[in-house]
Amino acid sequence: MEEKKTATLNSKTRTTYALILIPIGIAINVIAGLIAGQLKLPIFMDSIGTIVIAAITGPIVGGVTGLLTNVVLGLIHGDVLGMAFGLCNMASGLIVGYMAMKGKFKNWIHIVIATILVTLANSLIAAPLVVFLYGGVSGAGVDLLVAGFLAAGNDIFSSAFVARLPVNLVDKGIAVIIAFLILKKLPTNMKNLIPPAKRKE
Amino acid sequence: MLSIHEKNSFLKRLYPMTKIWASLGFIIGIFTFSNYYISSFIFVLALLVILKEKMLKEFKVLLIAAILLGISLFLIQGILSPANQTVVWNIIPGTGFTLYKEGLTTAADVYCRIVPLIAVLFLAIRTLNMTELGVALNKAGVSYRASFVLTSTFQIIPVLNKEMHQVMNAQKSRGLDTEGNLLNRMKAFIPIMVPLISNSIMKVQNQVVALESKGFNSNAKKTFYRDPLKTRVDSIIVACTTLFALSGVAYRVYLLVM
Repeated sequence: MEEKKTATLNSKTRTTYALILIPIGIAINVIAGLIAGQLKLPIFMDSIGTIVIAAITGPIVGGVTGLLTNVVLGLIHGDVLGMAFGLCNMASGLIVGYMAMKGKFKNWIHIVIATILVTLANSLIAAPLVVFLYGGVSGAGVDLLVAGFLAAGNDIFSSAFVARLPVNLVDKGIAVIIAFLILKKLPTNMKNLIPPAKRKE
Repeated sequence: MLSIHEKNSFLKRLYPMTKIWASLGFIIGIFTFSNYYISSFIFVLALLVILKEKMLKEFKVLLIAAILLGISLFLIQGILSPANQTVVWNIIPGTGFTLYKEGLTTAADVYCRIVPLIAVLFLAIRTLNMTELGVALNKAGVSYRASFVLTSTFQIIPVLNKEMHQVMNAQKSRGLDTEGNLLNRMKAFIPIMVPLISNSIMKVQNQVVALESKGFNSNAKKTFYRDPLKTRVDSIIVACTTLFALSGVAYRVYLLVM
């Protein structure tokens, strides 16, 4: 049934869906960051939108959403160096979108795998960026952990990487879980806009 | 949070793409030169322009953030960098609280790249009108679908922000606890987020119909409502920043070869 419904969408209409979903994903990311700020939570929460959109529309649209989120955040705050971290957000979108495309974003085991993969990718990409752009210090709460690992005798790159693991695990873990909860509540015809030819159920 | 300045100032009148190319030129130039004098000159220049444009009030937030970043950068690199050898200043004698020369040099190198960029890019971006940027991108050859994504993002954010306040107030009136300890606040995040996101995704279908009925996918030539003009000043600024970036790259190559 669901198969038929999405199959009737022609490719142009599907592009229009994607073009509207990308701004919504970005806006969700920005607003989630605002809410986290208002509730005074010590996490960024800037990838929920990316993960929801990636799970609905697949890796390409998800990746674009992630990359553009940081561009938009940079434009809003006037902080352009932060745009480089769009690569991390893009990795989250690509990973979750790819899992969703293969039909591997359906139960709690998939959620755990997605969280671990996203955390690893984010820390691995963020560490060299932070070291190159900011000398290892990003002006956020993670710095205290980085300082701790540096004091324990690690070099700056591995400190920046290891310190990001626990922070990202909490941050991305919550993002993936919320995205999963929302996905379950969406009506069936909105759940999956990935082209049926590429989808494996 | 994303106020659009409709003041008629010099920066405001510049063509949107000029600002983008100039920012790119400054990024390449400052990173390749990494010179204290050039960086501080650019920073002072940008600060003067900010003063003249009366944008100091908004810039203050970024300035404080930059100072905080500087303090943590110099302390962490100066005390803990693995390359540290030469003692500069033992702050508290008899403890490990010592500043070293190597770490401080690394920190200064990084900081002299970040600070002028923050000022220059702040200027370029805060005077940018997103709708005009969309038009300019479209004229420069970016597809109208891509520029639609950019402009509509900046229209959706304020709308979603308003909806967020509605959802938050509604949930509070139902007894949601948004204050107190960390766990309470963490739990409050989900009942705010879930209705917000599912609402906006359910509306997508209506938006698709609206766009289709207005001929979004038609192949006819599209016209613009806002039409920014390119002047001679724009070409001069682009040429200057390109020259700056190129000389920076040449300087780096010269250093590598010698």
